[in-house]
Amino acid sequence: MLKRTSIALLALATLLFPSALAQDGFPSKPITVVIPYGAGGMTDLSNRILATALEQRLGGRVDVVNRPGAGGYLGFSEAMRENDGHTIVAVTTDIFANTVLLDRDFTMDGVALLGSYMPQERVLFGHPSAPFSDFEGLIEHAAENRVRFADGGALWAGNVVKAMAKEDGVNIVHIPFESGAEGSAALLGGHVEIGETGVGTPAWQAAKNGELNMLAVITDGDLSAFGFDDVPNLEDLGYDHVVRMYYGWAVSPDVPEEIRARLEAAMEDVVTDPEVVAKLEAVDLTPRFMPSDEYAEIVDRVLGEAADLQGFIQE
Amino acid sequence: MPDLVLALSLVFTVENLIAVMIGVTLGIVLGSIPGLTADMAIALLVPFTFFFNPLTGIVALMAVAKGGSFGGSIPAILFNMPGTPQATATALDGFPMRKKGEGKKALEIAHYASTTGDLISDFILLLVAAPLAAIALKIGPIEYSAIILFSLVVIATATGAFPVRGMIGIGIGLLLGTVGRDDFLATERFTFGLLTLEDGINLVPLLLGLLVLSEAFSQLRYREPPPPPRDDATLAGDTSHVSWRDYRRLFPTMLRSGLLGTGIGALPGIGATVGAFLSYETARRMSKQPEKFGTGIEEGIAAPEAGNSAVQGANLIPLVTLGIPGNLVAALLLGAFMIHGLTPGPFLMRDQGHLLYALFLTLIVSNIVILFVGHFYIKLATRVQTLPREVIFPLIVMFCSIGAYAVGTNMFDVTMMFLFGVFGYFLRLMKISVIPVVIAFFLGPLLETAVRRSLLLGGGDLTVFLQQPISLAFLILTALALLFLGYQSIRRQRKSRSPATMEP
Repeated sequence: MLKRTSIALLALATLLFPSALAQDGFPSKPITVVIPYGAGGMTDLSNRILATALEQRLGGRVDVVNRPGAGGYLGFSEAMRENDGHTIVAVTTDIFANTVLLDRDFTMDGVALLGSYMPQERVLFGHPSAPFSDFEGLIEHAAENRVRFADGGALWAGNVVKAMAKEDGVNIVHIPFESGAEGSAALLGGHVEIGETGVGTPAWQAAKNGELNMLAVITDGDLSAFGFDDVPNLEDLGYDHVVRMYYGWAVSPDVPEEIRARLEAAMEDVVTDPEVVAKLEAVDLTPRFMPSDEYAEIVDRVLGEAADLQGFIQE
Repeated sequence: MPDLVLALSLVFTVENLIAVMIGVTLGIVLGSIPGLTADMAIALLVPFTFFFNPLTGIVALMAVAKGGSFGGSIPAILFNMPGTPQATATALDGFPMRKKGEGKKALEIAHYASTTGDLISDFILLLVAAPLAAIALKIGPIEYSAIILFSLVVIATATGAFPVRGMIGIGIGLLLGTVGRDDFLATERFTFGLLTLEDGINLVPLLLGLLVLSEAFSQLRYREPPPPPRDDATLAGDTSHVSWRDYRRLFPTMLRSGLLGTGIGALPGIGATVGAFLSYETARRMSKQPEKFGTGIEEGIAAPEAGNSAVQGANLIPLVTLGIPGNLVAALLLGAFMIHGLTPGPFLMRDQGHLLYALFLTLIVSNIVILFVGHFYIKLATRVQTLPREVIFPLIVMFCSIGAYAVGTNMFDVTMMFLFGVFGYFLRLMKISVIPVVIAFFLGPLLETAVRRSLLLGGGDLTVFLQQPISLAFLILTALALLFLGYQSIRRQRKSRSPATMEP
């Protein structure tokens, strides 16, 4: 109700003081949300849902543009050159972890985060034909046998499982795949014993259906939102390395403070909009707003942890 | 079965039929302009499907893909400039046929073959999608390695008038395919520190440059005599058309290619181009007059067109039953499904079965629509032949630039396209076909990852490829194809010693 009143007031103000609005006029042209990945993925999908609501909230056009390349870094670094606040880039903590894992020239001064709109859990699955059905069983089995592990296209997540195996001194062979869908196919076809993907992939759906075992959560959260309370996460199990997957928005650090604040407020409104929440939850996405300062803390932490992870694996 | 009955009531709505009409027309038109592709149209349309009901939205996208599959064969036949890689095989016999003055008939064969192949794969989709998908899952990296290697060798023999030059082309393609960060250790290869090259060279600028621009450059080099149906008077003379008897004669070829294409489409990632070439090669091997392939023979158009269309439809099998997108269009469709809160996968079949059946049925309806729209569009397209090259070629270059830019909204790709255009021109001067280059470029990385994964799976043991029956069978076939290639080239060398039979 309050929102509607404020929109009405804003409309009235626009009528009465057109010049006043033009002066601090934001947005003064269409906003572009850059998706640094291809069409059809989770980042693309969630942002297309958010963009429609954002259009209503900001009262101007919002274009969603896919700019894939270099694991998200190409679109990200290009968006960082646009500093009038009309170019937002969709980011994930994965892009930042990769700046460390791939030795890119990047520091926190190079980005202004607007906040995070959802976390995502990644899960380690086991094929039912393997002689174990839980995490403990996996470690016991891998101590004696060679266990083949398919990743879901994320370098970071693959490395976290590698580090886990190294900490325990067990024999887990990492086989990289290009996407969660490819990794899922390898796992569902029984070509590997264990595999890792994000929530929402074919492997996840099969696991929900009881066709795969959920061994552990390799992110810092849990699966209680989906009714699976008893899948442990790596942090609880006492491992040093874990994935922290948070989707968010960022702009160039040269974008004026007040525009950043307005965009952050707009994000909060959009992400808590019940219609948006329903649409995201329908496909197993878990919208949750996190303010920019908290998000920046997480990204900063991720950069440090990724360096540790890199060091530990190369040791 | 109750699902199927409920589905029927969902199919025949006014919105669906309008969506199919618009989708098909858009696909055919965009597909027929080299440089613009149906994939591009689908990417642009995905957000709009928000405003439709799920079925209508997804059906519209599929209709674009289907229209585009036929549309792509038009420039391949009329100008020898396939705008999509899967139409490349169609040009092998389509363009010679057009030069003979039978452009209209070539287009009609492509049209009917495309629709027939599509229908075959749609019926299979309707009947046995789920079991087929379960079988496809059993095909792992080891089997993929052998299948891809086989495809690579077969395509080389299909296009190689000069086996050694064909191999050189493959080598160039494989090298170009290594550019970018490798998937296993993320090591940069030939990226020159450029972010734009980290994911490798983009496929679209490469193939527009090699297949379309370099062909335009080559054709401009010669002041070749105008092709027969040049002015309106002789165009009226191009009364070539497909009779019912022609169709019946070509039907076995289409059926075989349709089944082959469906099988390939059920495997995610291999793609319509391979389907087209394998169908072409199978048709040639089984033909009583294999030497006529490449000179404008009807089977040489029917086979690849039925094959590539069948792949497109069958690519939906892993998507709807497992949630695994087999190609770019399927990946975009996955997004479109999810925008509507539908997650493709085993649950979709169980919970929304009626919706899936409705989707499959609408696909069959859209094939019938293609039959009509295509019929009129062919008449329009044959008129384009009459325009002078001075008008057509600049337009093609313009559309290619737009297409290359649109993939990644990046000027770098446009530059790359022109570089590949010039590169392809010189390859053609040296009589190295650009087709093996293009095919090796996109099969190479697939082969590399599949082989590396197989070796990891097998603990570094090279014999893993011989232990699986499917991969063993394909390796034997590959060896046979290579032996045949060697035999052919020796025989040709012997022949060429006598001056009367010099190769051109």
